Amino acid sequence: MRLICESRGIINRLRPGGRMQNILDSGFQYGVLSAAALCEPLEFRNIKRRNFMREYDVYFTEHPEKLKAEMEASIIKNAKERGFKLPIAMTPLVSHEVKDDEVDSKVLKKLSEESLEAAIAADCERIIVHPMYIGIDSKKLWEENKEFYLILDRIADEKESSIRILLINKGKNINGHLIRGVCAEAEEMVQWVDELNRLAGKKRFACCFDIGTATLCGQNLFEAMVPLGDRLEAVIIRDCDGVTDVAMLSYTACVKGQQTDWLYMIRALRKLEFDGDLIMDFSDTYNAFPDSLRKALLSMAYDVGKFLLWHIDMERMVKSYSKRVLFGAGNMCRAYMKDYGKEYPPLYTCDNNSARWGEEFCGLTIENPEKLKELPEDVAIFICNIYYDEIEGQLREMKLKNPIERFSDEYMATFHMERLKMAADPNAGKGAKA
Amino acid sequence: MSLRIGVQSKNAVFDESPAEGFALLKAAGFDCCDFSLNNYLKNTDLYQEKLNLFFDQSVSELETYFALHKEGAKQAGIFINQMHMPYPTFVPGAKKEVNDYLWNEVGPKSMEICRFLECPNIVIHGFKLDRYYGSEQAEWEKTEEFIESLAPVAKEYGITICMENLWNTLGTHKVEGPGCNAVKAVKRIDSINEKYGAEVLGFCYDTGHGNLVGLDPYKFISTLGKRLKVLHIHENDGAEDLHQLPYTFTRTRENTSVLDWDGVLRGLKDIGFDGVLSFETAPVLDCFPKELKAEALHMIAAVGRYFSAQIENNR
Repeated sequence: MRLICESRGIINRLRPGGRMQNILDSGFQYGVLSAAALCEPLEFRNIKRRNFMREYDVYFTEHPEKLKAEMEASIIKNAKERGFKLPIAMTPLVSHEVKDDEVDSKVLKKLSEESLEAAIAADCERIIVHPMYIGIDSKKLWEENKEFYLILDRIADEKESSIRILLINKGKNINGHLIRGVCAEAEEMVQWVDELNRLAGKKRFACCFDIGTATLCGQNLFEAMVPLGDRLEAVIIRDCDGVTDVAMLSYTACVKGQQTDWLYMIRALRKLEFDGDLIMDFSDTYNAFPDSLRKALLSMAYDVGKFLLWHIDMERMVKSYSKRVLFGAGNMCRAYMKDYGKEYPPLYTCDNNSARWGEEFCGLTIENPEKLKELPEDVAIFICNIYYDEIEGQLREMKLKNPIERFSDEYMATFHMERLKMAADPNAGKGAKA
Repeated sequence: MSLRIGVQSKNAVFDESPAEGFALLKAAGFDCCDFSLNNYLKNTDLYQEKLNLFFDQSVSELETYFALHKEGAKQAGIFINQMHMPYPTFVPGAKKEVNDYLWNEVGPKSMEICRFLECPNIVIHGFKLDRYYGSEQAEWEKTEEFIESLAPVAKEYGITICMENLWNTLGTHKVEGPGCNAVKAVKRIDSINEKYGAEVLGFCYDTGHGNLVGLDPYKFISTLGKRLKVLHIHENDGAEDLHQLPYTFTRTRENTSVLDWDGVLRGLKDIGFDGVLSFETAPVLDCFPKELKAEALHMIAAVGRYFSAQIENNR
């Protein structure tokens, strides 16, 4: 799984190099070759307004044929000079605020073709291509998009490129309120991708899932993502308040609690054993920050991304070892045993509390940590306690050569503790305790 | 031929004088009524595990209780087309006795009241358990168990149990709850009906709930087709479940509704909907001063007639 920074809204069109370097310095190695960094989501609207203040010589909604050259000259050239990798690209995004009659679909198609050609030139493995829907009758959406995507397939064929074209879930603006649009429902996305691949005669097409759009459309993230199966190759992670279409850093849209269902997102990606591109999009948070704090925000975004990677990968990590022991004999150990104990049983658990040595807990014997020294080197030790640094330090001091992993029960496949009883029997909640 | 128009009995029909309430509905222009049985065991109480004694009454006592309602509706010429079973019918984490009571007393007795009032449809809420079970499928299986406990009686009485699209809360906004996937709903309804050899299960599309969780009404209704038996028509701001009049809420300077009513009406037209345009708008009557209640009901009925004309004229 790759952690990727969406550059739209961060990279400055006139001087892309500096901001790109900031992204690299924060820890991100990968970025999106985002056409929207040059052709902004509201450009279609702004360019038609008489009072629009022109900042640039060229606007790509007026000159779509110049987009590829500009992407190469600014973003791709700077990325190569800095060693900033661009494994995935994205076509221009049109804001939901832009109205049907403000968009010329021929221009939008040309911009998509230019983006694809730039992506191929930059050796991108994937490109996210927004479906056409603005100004198109809902009954003609499939036919129009089929033709559009197959043209892109032919362009890639002509360039002898194996680039994967990803469709993405969209919303539909009903007078300022977003509802589910093209490819928002998993059934439709799957049908479109499979049919396009059949028509292309190869696996050219796959899916990208935008968490923000699904949140705005009130979707159950688990049910919306799991049916995509191995077609899902990229996920855009962005937070929002569930009402306004913005890209905020994960865990920051905390209006009386979290608005994005991180639990379901992580459950879904674990179930899918997702191994694609995880794209962090936080451009609105970035732009709201004072310039002098933006580097710190980029570092924070990178840490949040690593945190999400850790959690998404948790189940894969558990499965990757043939033998394991746990360190910790509390709630986290109990949660491990509930979801993984049967399939991936530990040899035992250990705890620093000597009073508990020899005690049976969730079917495991609690041992003295000194016993870990007797383990064969291929047995992994899973730390099941939030004092990860301290325990890992203790294990390192013991000179153990075993793999040491950090387990967490923050996002489990099913609920635990009191809820654990309910999973087996919904009647066994408070009633059972009383 | 125009479609029939209905509205909730809540806030219009009262136990002290049901006939007066039904007459008020008729005078406002309604043909039908959605009988608010849920008013007798409120969800706000159930979530606090509070049970009242209403459903402790025997079937015969309940029939006596509702005899005046039945008579009042008949006298006024109002047909009770649908009713709402008290909900939730399962409270996650509640005492066993609470859930047993809902399952074994409230559910079956609601069916008996439905039969007594000669009402062909009863709306239920699916169980909200997916977060506990880890999947919507597991959640549905529990709801299915409940539906199947009522299905033989539904078949015997000629009643269709209607599952409804619901929402859950996450932070301050709404996300989809049970019944929000039309493709799954179709398969589930067909499967149960095939098993019982009768239309024991159907769907109630709630326009407001759909709007809260971003459902595309045209797609949803078109997918349901003839399985759509009843409606809960109302509008909201896309954020809260407000149960207000259609064409009320806007978010842009164009001042057009945030609910895709055109999609709703096209969907109903395309599937040949011939049921009742039933409004679940009791809160409108809380909003307006009581002196304007009759006019408010007239306005709701007028919207219903407009909807009917839009659906019928374009057929």
